[in-house]
Amino acid sequence: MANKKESTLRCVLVLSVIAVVCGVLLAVLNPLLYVAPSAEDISNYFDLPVENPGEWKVVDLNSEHAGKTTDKSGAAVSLVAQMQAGEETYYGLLITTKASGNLSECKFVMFFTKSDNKLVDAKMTVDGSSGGKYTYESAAAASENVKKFEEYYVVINSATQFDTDYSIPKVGATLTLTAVDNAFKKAAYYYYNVIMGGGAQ
Amino acid sequence: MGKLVISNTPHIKSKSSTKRIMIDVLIALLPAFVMGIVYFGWYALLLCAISLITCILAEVVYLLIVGEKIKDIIRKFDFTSAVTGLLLGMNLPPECPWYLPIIGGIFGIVVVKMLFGGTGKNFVNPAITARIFLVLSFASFMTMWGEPSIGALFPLDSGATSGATSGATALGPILQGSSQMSNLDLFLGTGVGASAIGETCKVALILGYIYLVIRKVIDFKYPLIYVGVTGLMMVIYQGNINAFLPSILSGALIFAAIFMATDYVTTPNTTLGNIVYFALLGILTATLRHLRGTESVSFCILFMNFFVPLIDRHIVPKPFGFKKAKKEVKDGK
Amino acid sequence: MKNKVKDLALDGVLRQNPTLKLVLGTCPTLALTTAAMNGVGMGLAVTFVLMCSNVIISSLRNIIPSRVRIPAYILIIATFVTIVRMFLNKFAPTIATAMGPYLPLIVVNCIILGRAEAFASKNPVLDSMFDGIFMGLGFMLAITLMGAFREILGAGAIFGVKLWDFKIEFFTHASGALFTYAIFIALFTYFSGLYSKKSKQKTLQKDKKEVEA
Repeated sequence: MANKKESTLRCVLVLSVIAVVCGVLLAVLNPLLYVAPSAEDISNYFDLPVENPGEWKVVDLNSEHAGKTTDKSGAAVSLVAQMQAGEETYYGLLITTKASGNLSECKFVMFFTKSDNKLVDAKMTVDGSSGGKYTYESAAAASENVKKFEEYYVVINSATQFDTDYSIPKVGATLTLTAVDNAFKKAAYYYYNVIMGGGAQ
Repeated sequence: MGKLVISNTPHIKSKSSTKRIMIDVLIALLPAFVMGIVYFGWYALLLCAISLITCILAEVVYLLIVGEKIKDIIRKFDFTSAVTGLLLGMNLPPECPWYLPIIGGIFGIVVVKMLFGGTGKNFVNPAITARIFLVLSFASFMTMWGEPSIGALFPLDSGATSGATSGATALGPILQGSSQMSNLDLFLGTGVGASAIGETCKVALILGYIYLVIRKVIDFKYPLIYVGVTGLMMVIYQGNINAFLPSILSGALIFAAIFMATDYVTTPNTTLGNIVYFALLGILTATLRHLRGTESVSFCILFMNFFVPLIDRHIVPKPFGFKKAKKEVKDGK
Repeated sequence: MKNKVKDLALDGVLRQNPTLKLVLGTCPTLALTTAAMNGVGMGLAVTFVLMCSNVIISSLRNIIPSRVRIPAYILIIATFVTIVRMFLNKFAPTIATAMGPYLPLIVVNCIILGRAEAFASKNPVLDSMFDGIFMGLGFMLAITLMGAFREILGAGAIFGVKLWDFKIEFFTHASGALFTYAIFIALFTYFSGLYSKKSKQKTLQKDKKEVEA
């Protein structure tokens, strides 16, 4: 077996050849399969069924609160837009929550009316839960039962409790439920402090 | 290593058969059962009945499938499945749909008990596990709190609304330190939202406890240790001595401490082991209640059930007449 | 040859089913069986990677020095996983997001590395290819069935088509995954026990007849 004893040089050589071949193969396939990362397009996210809708216009983000993760929850406001429909002005917020465990990044859109500071619609546009849609469905079912949830967030005013740890019965889909929770908190916080100019912490 | 620790039902035969013990437990459950029906109405009775019948039927059908003869099944019937059924029924929220006890009963008996070898071989409490299975499966029903009222049995005016509210239990405000419930209300169970039919009236539960202690079915110490440690830990967490009574009187703590945690099969074999078990259970319950802000008793009992073999492994009973072997004096050196 | 393929097929799907008999690749099995469609997607991805890596590894089995065989296998497997990932991202982005981190994690899936080590490195190319296909199919079959079971009970649907409103959510949770896995292993062991008993009796009868003759 002496002649079969592999020298270190041979090992290194074989490994590098395999690596180079694999690299070349991927390099050839790359232009065929490449997907350009889609830009945060307003029309992708903001569609609110209202009567005679106007055009969504991006509002400048207040850099202090948005764009990047600012608190430990990891939720960030990544896009804010405004729309005039008849008398009413609508605000749309795109919230991104960070990945945690086997939950990837999620995106939520939330719509507010300017006249009464009401949350009129909220939905999850990118569901990051691995395992598909049922995880989110069961999270939604669990949070449905929590009346407090709505009380805190439907109308935004100085009484809205942005950081209260109220208790959602977190049984299953815990990560997804936490992401939903964080997104709501972030949106309410941003809306109160930046759009309403509430100022108070 | 290599020690075989067998930790199942008593190996010494005496008059206290499993059947007698189980009938005692059923009798002890009666006061709380009756109070549950008085507070929550006939529907609560229906739920308990469904649960009881399902559990017994599930055991019989399983045994028939496995190939036992009917005569043997009747002769061997020891009421454990009846106790499981009644406990599960009393663990359900009073307004839950009728099919929950059926699903829970089949799961508790077939999966938790029979698949592991039947009475005395199950490593976790069937009723608790069935409840948790239902909580995980039907969260929206199982977190619905029923509001008790004395008139539930015979409503005077037909327009009486059912008191099911969701999310508002007495425990929530207590954990946040903003409770308006008086201790007496909590003790009698009047006007307190409850997540389980059997947990409300503490007087009835304590009657059952006294009966069990007199009949020597359970040791008087253990439920006291569990409840006491939980209360003390809550006092420490909230930094307020007044938190003691509300925290032990609310939720399913007393019910679970008397009837669920003391299950023979899922508690350690030794006195010291039991003290460790119930103290740890108390610490865990208070901690989880404090951190989660909701009732966690059933999850804690299930979790601690897994530690029973570990406790039994490290706290081994001393055989009768056993003396510690003296260290042999080594020769020569 | 035909017999050999049949043998490999029986091995991959039944006798040595990677999920239910060898209990390999449990991580994606537990995480992705919430829906039957996930099982098909993951199964196809794994089958493709397994087939390709088995072919390449088997054809290089005399060249790769045994001292560095594991890094070499990983290089080859990772290449194919990257290709699958790029392909899915381009043509089936919904499946790609549903699989989440478990798609790139195919690289360290023990079914693939296990077959490379146990089969492809010792057998000719064609055999290794069939082994890869049938092992992959066995995996796909197992996780699709588990996915269907969990989807029907946990979500009241099958392949995304709604059947009824009644659902036992326990089965969509992680605990439900472990429970389902246990039930499937138990049933599989029971039925394969019956099967092997039957086949043993058959061979015994054959032997008896031969002796009598």
